[in-house]
Amino acid sequence: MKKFLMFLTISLVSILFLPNKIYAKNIFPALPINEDFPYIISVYDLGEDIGTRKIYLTYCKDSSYHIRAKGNITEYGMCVDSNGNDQGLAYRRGLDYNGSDITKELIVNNRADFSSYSWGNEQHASWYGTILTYDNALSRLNYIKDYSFSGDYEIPSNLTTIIYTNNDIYNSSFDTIVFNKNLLNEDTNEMRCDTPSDYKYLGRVYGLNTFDFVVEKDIQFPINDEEINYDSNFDGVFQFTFSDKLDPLPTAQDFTITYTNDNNVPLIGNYDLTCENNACFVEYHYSTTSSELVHAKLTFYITYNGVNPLPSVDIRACPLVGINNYYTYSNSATGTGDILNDLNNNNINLGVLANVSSWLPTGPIDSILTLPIKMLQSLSDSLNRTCNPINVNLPYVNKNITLPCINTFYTNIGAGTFFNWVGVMVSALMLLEYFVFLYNWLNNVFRLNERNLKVWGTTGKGGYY
Amino acid sequence: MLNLLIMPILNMLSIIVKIIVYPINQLATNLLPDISSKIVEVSNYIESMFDSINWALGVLPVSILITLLFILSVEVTRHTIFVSTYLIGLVFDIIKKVKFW
Repeated sequence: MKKFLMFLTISLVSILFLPNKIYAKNIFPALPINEDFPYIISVYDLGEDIGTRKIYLTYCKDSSYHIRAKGNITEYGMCVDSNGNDQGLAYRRGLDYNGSDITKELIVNNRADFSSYSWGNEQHASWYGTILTYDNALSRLNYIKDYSFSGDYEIPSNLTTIIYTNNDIYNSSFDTIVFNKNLLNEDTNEMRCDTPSDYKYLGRVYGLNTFDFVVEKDIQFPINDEEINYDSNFDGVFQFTFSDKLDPLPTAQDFTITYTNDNNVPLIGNYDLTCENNACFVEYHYSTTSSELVHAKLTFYITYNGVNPLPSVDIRACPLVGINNYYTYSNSATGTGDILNDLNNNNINLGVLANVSSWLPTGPIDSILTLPIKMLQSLSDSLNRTCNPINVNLPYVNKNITLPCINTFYTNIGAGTFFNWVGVMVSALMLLEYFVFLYNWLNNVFRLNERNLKVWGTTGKGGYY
Repeated sequence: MLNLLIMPILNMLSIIVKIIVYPINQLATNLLPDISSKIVEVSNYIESMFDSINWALGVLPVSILITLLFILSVEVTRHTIFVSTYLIGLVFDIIKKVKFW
């Protein structure tokens, strides 16, 4: 009886502590198959609790392309041109309800996945790739929520990035939002950064101490079928400027840059960043051993995480190409600018410490030795995040497959609730066993019958303290 | 919570490892640049695969993940208290043996 009451109490407590997101709820109609959308807004509404909502905006790289729903609603969409051919890449931006977690994804090979909770609206094509003022962004989100939209917004075409305030949406703080637009589309043999027109507009920042932006850079060499030894290294410089001189001047430690190659493989540590006056320079290094025509896309994720907020500044970038002794190459640079707005983030940011290890160059030995640590870091991160579908590139056939989350699968077959209830029951049993273990151990310790630290789930002693 | 407890420790470990092997790294990079770059490349591949742990954890229901997180946090806290107490006891023993007079 005593055990039963304990079990009952713990079960109730565990259920109360669990968030409501174990109840999946589909609040949006299905996407019509084979229809085009300028973008897809996916809302993953994981429960009755409003705080469990996630909103994703998926759109194609080129504003003339559309996302076409393929197959059925549980599959994926593709970026297609007016002839229906696969084109470009799709991007996805996500935001949590509390605005603190931004998902930034580049969806490779045209796959713009969406779940049965997705929904798109072709009626408002003007929304695509345009600046979102606070008002129309709010309306867009409210449109998702309420199925109603009214208002016609004049949107300056030369602006591209929204700045979001911390006004309430759904009666809570929603201080971060990221929407961006493809901006740079140059195709030239050699780019210089001599005149202001060489610098392309990325976005505008208002008093932020945290923001990031993404720049993509296509490199291709050799050009003109030149006989060049290109079994070599590639060096380049990427520069970005601010409209105002920054005071204090940012340092390299204020920025974190990671970049990936065309296989989306992270290249870590091979860059150098310096700042002077109102400009910062990123020197990067890319190695290749290919003896054929090389076309590589480097995607830079640049994050500023300074102690002091930046004033209102326009960020412009000019992708300089590097020339070394071996080759020259063509360069078509594309870029997207996006801003993570964090107006209220005036607290001490411990996240700076997370990147301290990147200050030292990566080498072969430490990259092997730190693999287990990185695995633990990934595990620790993953425990605090919700599942994201993964894109896997199959070697040799060069095909991308998307693996949807398992809970999506369970929901689609109608077993989501059952799955979650099984989870609740197992959790309750685990907690029961754990609390009984903890009670026995504490009882023995306080009665001085036990001096050792016993570890739950093992029979041995946890240490010799 | 768990992140706050564990991440600083992992970061410190990572830095310590990097500092210790820095000379060996430099030696290897200069003597065997090709192999070194390949090792880094392969490591990066494996590291990128770790990000899929997030997907793999999605196999478990959210409630179980939260429970595991809670139990893990309590266990880490328990260990920390025990180790701290043990070390304080050791220091106190040493202080007792020091004669100030």
